[in-house]
Amino acid sequence: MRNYSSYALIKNALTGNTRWTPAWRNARPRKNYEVIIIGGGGHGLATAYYLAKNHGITDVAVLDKGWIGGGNTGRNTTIIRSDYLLEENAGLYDFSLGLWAGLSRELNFNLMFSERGAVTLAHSEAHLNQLARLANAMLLRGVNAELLTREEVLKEIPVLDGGAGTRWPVEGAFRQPEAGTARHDAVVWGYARAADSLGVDIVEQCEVVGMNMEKGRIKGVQTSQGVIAADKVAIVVAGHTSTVAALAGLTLPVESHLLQAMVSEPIKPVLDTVVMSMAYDGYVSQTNKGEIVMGAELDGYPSYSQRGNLPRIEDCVRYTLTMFPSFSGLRLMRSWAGINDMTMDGSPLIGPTPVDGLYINGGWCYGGFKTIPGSGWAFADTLAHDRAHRLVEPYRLDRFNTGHTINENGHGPLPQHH
Amino acid sequence: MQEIRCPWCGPRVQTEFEYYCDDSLLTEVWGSEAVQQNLDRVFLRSNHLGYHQEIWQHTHGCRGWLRVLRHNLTHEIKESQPLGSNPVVDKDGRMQS
Repeated sequence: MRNYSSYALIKNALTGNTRWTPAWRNARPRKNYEVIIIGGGGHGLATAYYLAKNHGITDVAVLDKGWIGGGNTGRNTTIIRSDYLLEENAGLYDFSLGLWAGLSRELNFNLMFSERGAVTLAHSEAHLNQLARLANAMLLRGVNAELLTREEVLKEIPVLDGGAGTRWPVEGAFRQPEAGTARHDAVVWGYARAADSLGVDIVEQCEVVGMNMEKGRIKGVQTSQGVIAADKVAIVVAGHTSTVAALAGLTLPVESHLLQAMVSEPIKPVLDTVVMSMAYDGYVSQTNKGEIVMGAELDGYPSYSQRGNLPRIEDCVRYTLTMFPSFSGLRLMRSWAGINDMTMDGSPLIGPTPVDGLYINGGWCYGGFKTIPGSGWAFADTLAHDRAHRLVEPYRLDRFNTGHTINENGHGPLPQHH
Repeated sequence: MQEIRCPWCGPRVQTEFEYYCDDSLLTEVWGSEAVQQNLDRVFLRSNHLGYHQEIWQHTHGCRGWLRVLRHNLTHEIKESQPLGSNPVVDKDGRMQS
């Protein structure tokens, strides 16, 4: 792998930028591998990278039915935080946040990770109590968290309209200072390039259409580019976890829903943190390019369409404009919908399956992007040692049978409400 | 914007309705041997690509409960009937003849 550096930039500029090489090889699948990872999104590529780097397992193929960066990694709002109440979630999400901080250097790829903090607004005393409980739970585990007064919030986010005249005046806020955002495409490109340089084959346009199994053990996969044998197969296909798992005869506690997000035209820097709200179910930030990114709630019904409906876009814009009335002159540039594999308790599914040698990492609900490094790290360890890593053990598939659900919001098994 | 036909009120816009759950959740199983079956019913979803029998409510209308046969990729709605009428697909989503 050729190092990206200032020197490389200058050298290539002098030769007219004609000597850059592709970031990863266009691999053709071999007949067999030690590990096949189905899905070349953030989690799949991170898993492949850590398998090679931490465990020396380089006989790995990552198969993707489309192209790298064309799935859910490119359909989110890039927010990275670890402000979770439950201990099980805090472990993995905070480990992940720690990895983000040094990831650009490790992958030699600028992920544009921006530690700009994330603020959750409280609009009542009850909201503040709830956020204080969350902050205390985090502090007890050694995760940084702080509460802001109304005055501090209005001073630090001058563009926010939280004063007495608004619909729900701001009472205060919770902030995780280490939270931030990253460049979504760069994350998959960076992991793909680093994994490729360690010997991993990244095979694009290769759809898995069947699983080869013998006596309850996985033997390989059938793909649009032929049959490929493998000792271990991992399903890491955000958005289609149920349909791919069904190829192995598995039924999962997952319902696939739509989640929309959108960006405005770019403007000069005006918002230097991520803003969420306890009253408005939206989240707003400004990209390095200047666009205002807004995220909405689920559309509310199961769908694989990757195509959202107008009512949710209107809701999202309405929330945003209530908080930031000065954005009303902006034009919406694009909107998109991702398929969220929503589990029955709002937490992911990670670990071995009843089929020997077959593993699943999916059901990420809203938490997929931010967990990419931590999930890849712990899932690679799980694959290498044939047992769940400590950080992902709570997310085992059979937790619903044993009553060990991890339900951050306390909603029942109706995923559209998580 | 999708249009959903309420069996009592006629065609209305999607925002008047709320999705509740997959129809498979409503088929209760009784008896002490049925523990696993009930766990599966509550927590597992076939989530296949295709037609699903779903329960919706006309929340911002007559508040009636509907059973809707809807495709989860095209969003085409083939049927919407009052809840209580017979489903036209089985729990795996296969059309019944």
